[in-house]
This record gives sequence, structure tokens and C-alpha cells, in this order.
Amino acid sequence: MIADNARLGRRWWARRVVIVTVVALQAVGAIGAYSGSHQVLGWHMFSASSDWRADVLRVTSDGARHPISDPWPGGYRWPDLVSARGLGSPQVRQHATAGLAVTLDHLSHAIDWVALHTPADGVTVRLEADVTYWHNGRGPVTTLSVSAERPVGPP
Amino acid sequence: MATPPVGRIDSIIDSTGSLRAIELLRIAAGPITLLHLMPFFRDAANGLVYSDRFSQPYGDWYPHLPKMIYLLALWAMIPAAIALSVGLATRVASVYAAGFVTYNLFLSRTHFFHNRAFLVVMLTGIALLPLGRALALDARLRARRGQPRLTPEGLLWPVLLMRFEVIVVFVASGVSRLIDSDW
Repeated sequence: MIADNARLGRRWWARRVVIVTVVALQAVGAIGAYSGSHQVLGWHMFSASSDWRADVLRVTSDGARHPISDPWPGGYRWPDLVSARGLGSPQVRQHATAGLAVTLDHLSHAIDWVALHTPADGVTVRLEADVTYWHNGRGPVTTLSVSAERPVGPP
Repeated sequence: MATPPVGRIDSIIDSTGSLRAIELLRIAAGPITLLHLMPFFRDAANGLVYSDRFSQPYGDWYPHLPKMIYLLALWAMIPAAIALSVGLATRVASVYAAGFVTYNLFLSRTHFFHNRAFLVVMLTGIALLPLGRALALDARLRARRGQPRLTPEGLLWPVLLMRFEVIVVFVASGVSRLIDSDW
């Protein structure tokens, strides 16, 4: 009987702990969504009417800029490396389904990721994304995103 | 004499009631979960997982399974989702489905969509409830074994949390638009 009471007591408290935790997490998510670019538990369900496109280029050690659609040392293809959230075809003007801030953040991280995960490319020193966006129909606005520098040399 | 506020909150949290409506949600959750995971199944059929392409983790601390184990866990979602819908080993299936979908959603920021986050909320609520007592194979199997029928009732606090989340979704969506001058 005492053991049963203890178990019931623990469950009684566990219920309240779970409820308070969920409400607190939700409050943090809902309020924090106004300050960060990502909106986990922010529930801003209606995306803005914003579009974007980008020319993503490889910059080689001699300073030349090559579109990612050109043949790539190591045989890489951009759509094989990056596919999420419309990032697989950045040259096409498209709706920023997750909002502009999130999309541009993804693109910036994507060129960093590609710079780090293309070891067979011995000539590219960095990637650049020349982004054009239209925020709620206004614009266009252009911005440049540059990846981290990568070491060059034979793979 | 009026019940003090703390007592009222306690009585709400500890209240019990019918879970039959949530059993319908459980049935719908299986196919919805499979539909949500379809892009991951498609990639997995080609031997690809999220980490083979660009992904953006929330933090270095988040655990990443070895590829083979992740693939096994992903494919196991097919029987788990079916079991969830038909109500077979309902508690195990619901906890697994909620656990995997949550884990998978937070593997990469690119996985995040509000409707997927809402699916996580609903699956978690389902996993916290004693379901499988109505409209479920578990209930039929109990009857066939001659075991006493369990009434489809239970503590309602997970249902209250699910309702709270539904309210938050509407309020947060509305407020975000109201304070946006473009709207």
C-alpha cells in the first residue's frame, strides 16, 4: 500500500512537471520566434509573400568564377549535394516557403557545407552565393554570401 | 464554498474521461506519419540518408545514429505506423512513432516545417495516453483471450496539453500577422 501510494505520488508530480515543462517550452518558442531566424514552436504559420534566387559560383585559386552548373572537379553535382527546401535549384526564382531569413540562413550554411564536403575538388577555394530576393513583393535586394575558405591542392 | 484555484487546477489535471475521440486521431496518425516520412523512405531506398547531403544540425550535442542503425530505425516506422493505426501493441507503437518522428525532425533545421512540428505534438499526446482500448486490435485480442474489457477512458491531461497547443498555434499565427505591418 505504501509502495502504491509512493508510485501514485510520483505520477501526480510527474504529470505536473510535464505540463509545466511543455507550457514553458512553448512560451519560450513562441516568444523566441520573434528574435531568431528559425521558429521552432513559434507557429508563424503564414509565410510571407517573398521570393528568392541565387547564382551560386565556385571561385578557383586563379580567381575565376564558375557557375555550379558547369562541370565540377571531382564530378560533383550541386543537386546531389544540396536538395532541401528548394536549395537544389537556387538559380530558379522561387517562393521562400520557410521565410526569407530561414532560407538565406540555409543557403549560407549550404555553401559552407559543400565547401567542406567536396574533398575531390582540388581547385575551388570558396563558394559564393549572389542572392536576389523580393520581400513581400518589394525589391529586388541583392546580397552576397561567401563560404569558408577551403584548402586547395590535389585530393 | 468555492474551490480554491489550486484545487480547481488539480482537479482539471487529474480529471478522467473518454478517449474514444483520440482513438480516431490515433487511427489517422499512422498514414499521416508515413506520408510525412515518404521523402526519407525515398532517399533510403536509394541508400541515402540526411547526412549524405547538406543538413544543418541544431547543435553538435544532438546524437546522430550510425547510418545503418538510422536506416533500420526509419524502416521500422512502417510497421510502427501500421500498428499505431490498427491499435496493435498500441503503447509501444505510439511511443516509438512519437520518439522517432521527434528525433528525425530535430536532426536538421532543413527538416523543420510547422505542420511536422504539430505532428510531433499530436504523436506525443497520443503516446502519453492509454489508447488501444477502443477501435483497436488490442481490444479485440483482449476480448478473444477472455480478459476483461478495458473502458476507453483515462486521465485527460495529455488531451488538455494537445488542446493548449492547438490554441497556441492559432493565437501565435494570428498575433504574428497582426503585428506584421505588411498584413
